[in-house]
Amino acid sequence: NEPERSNVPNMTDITFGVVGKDYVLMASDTTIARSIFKMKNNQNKIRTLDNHILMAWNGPVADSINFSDYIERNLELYRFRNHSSLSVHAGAYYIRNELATAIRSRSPYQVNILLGGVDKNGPALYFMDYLGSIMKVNTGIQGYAQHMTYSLMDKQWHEDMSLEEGIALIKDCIAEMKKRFLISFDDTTFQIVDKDGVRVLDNP
Amino acid sequence: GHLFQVEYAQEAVKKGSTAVGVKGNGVVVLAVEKKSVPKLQEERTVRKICLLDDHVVMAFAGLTADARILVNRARVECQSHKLTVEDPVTLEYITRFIASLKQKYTQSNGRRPFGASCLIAGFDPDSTPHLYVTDPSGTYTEWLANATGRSAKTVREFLEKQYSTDSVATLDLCVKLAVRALLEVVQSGAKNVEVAIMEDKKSMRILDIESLEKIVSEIEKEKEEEAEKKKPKK
Repeated sequence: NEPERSNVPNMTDITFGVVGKDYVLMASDTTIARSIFKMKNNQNKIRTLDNHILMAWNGPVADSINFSDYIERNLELYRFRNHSSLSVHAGAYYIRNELATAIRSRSPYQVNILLGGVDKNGPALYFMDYLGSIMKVNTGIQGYAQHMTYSLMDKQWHEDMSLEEGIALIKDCIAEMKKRFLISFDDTTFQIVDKDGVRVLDNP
Repeated sequence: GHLFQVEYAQEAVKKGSTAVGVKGNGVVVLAVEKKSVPKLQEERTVRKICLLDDHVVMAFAGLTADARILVNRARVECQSHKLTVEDPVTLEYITRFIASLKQKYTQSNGRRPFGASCLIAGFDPDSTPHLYVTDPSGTYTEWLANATGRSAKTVREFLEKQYSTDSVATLDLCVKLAVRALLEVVQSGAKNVEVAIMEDKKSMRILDIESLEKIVSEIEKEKEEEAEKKKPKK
């Protein structure tokens, strides 16, 4: 018997993505819940793919990790076969295709994705969900956080934001979540991708 | 008994351009003969030296098309291994995989053996260097230094005489030995040789043409000096 799964992935993961002047900044909470418990407090929900793409996942840990591993390995295989990495745009559409194929099969992945990267076309952020939809956005949010922070992002985001402005915007969103979201969370992780690649911001 | 198809495949390998592998102190070097291309053809570098994973590199002698299949299958297997056990392949594992694949094609109907011998080099996750050789029959063996392809026997005999822990004690010495061995059977000149260097936890490096030319001229000088010594003194 297959384990019971809901049709909608859990929405309680908090992930944000913001496109800045020449970078994409992403942040996520680091809590993993299991029924009424916080099982883990330091889970990184933002995967690094191929050293130049950030992929934040939302959803049950099983599907998210399984899917992330699968994508990571396939992007690496592409790199060895073709002697160069997939561009951010191509990578996003490759991932979307995998999700779209899976939803039409007997075993869909319950993962929502925020994908960020910088290549020769500049910074790009893609919003993808488990049904296989894809949207190129300037501000990306997943889960319940969308209800509480989209308006905040709309008000504060503008083109060509500096890193300080980007960090301030996401910090405001996190503060709003801490104030209004029922499910508490302690730590968050900030990661940035720019033309030099991917790195973690230790003290944003 | 004879398996003629396998022997014919080994003949195909003997016709291919030479490839040499030398394991040194903290380094493994692969050197291949770069066949001169027709004037109008685009010269493409790194055709015979293929990266299978960040820590495994392969050179081959024989039918390029056959080797391409092997390289592709090996690349997929490297990633598949990482996906299932979260660890990069060991050199022995991937060599065994390639060798098993070759063996399957010597024992199935409707198929012919792969006409390529592979030199597989790199560092295991525990930092030990390895050099393996596979042949069309599906056997694999580990070596300190070996050659395959045209005139491989001559190169191997040269290596047997010249190889020692002293002669490969540094990266430069190891590279020089590999190039020197290859130049025994290949027309002298940096443009006829391609060298790949594998060091632990570093990406594969293809030696640039300037360094290669320097090494070749050093080798030429050493050869002249040796020839002078051998001349009878008046």
